[in-house]
Amino acid sequence: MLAKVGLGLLGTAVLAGAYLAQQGMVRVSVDEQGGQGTHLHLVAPAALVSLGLRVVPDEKLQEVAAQARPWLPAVRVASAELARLPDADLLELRDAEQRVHIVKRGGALLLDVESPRHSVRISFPLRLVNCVASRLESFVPAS
Amino acid sequence: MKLSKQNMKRVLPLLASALLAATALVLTATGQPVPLDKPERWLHIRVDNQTAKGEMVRINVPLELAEKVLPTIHNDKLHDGKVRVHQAEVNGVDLRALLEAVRTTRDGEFVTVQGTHGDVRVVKQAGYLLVHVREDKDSAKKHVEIRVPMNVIDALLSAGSNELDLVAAIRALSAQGDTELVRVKDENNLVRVWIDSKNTSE
Repeated sequence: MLAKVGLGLLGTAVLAGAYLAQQGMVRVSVDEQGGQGTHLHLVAPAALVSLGLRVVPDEKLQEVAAQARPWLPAVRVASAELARLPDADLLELRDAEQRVHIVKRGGALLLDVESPRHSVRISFPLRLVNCVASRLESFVPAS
Repeated sequence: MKLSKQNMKRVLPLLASALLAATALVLTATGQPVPLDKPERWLHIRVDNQTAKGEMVRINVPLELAEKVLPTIHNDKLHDGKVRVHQAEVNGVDLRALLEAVRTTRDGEFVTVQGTHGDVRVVKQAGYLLVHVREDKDSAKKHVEIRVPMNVIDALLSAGSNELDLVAAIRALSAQGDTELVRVKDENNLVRVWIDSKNTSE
């Protein structure tokens, strides 16, 4: 009996792990220079963000959707198109002090900003962007 | 409690199915792009400043992405991938009328200025509108070369009398072979805009 339960738990864990892996991870890393600078490092499964959207009150989502409304279709289409494309460096800006780099790697978008004052690295799965945009679009009243 | 052989026979296929499903999910998670039927066309913009800590810009835009995203943007004068240019004037010149005139004119040299400080040439030739500007002949200070395929101009003007069809122009650009559209070079800077099928600007 215990073996069956164990196998069930193992199967569930494997499936849950596979699902989380499939959804990808959101990574945020912010490092401000100086002794009292902010250092934030966050790694979260994208699936949690999708699930989190389900528990955010509708009023809040409506508020955000109203503000983002003009850009939601563009964001949704762009993320879907980018996901389809091969990996690429989309943007790189560099001057004496700053460097901004946006790349698409394996289904994720990576943003990298480095300056003498701070260093920011953000990566997230493109399908999450699509999912968030679609979810917000569902709160936009039909015109 | 140990599993009997019979129970094992029941459980193993289930476990195998679960593992297979998980493997399939993980494999799709790598986000590998689906092979494309035709090579993707990319617009590249590259700015290089040659000074010690010079600025550097690299932009690589898939044309199909631009073609699909532009119609979704509705902002000010841009709607459905078309920009309204009713009586649009740039430095007193009606841009649309100018493009229309260039489009309907035969091949030839429209502007030739040869001055002491530089040359300017605007030519329509072999399906291209070519603009050549050279400042300060002797020291070769600044060169500007612009090369616009005429079918892109045709597409741009295809929307109607007071609109420029950006999406049609992008589609026409996609159909072009590898082409350098803009090259600006001076003592310190090199700016290039071109299209090809590579996803890097190297």
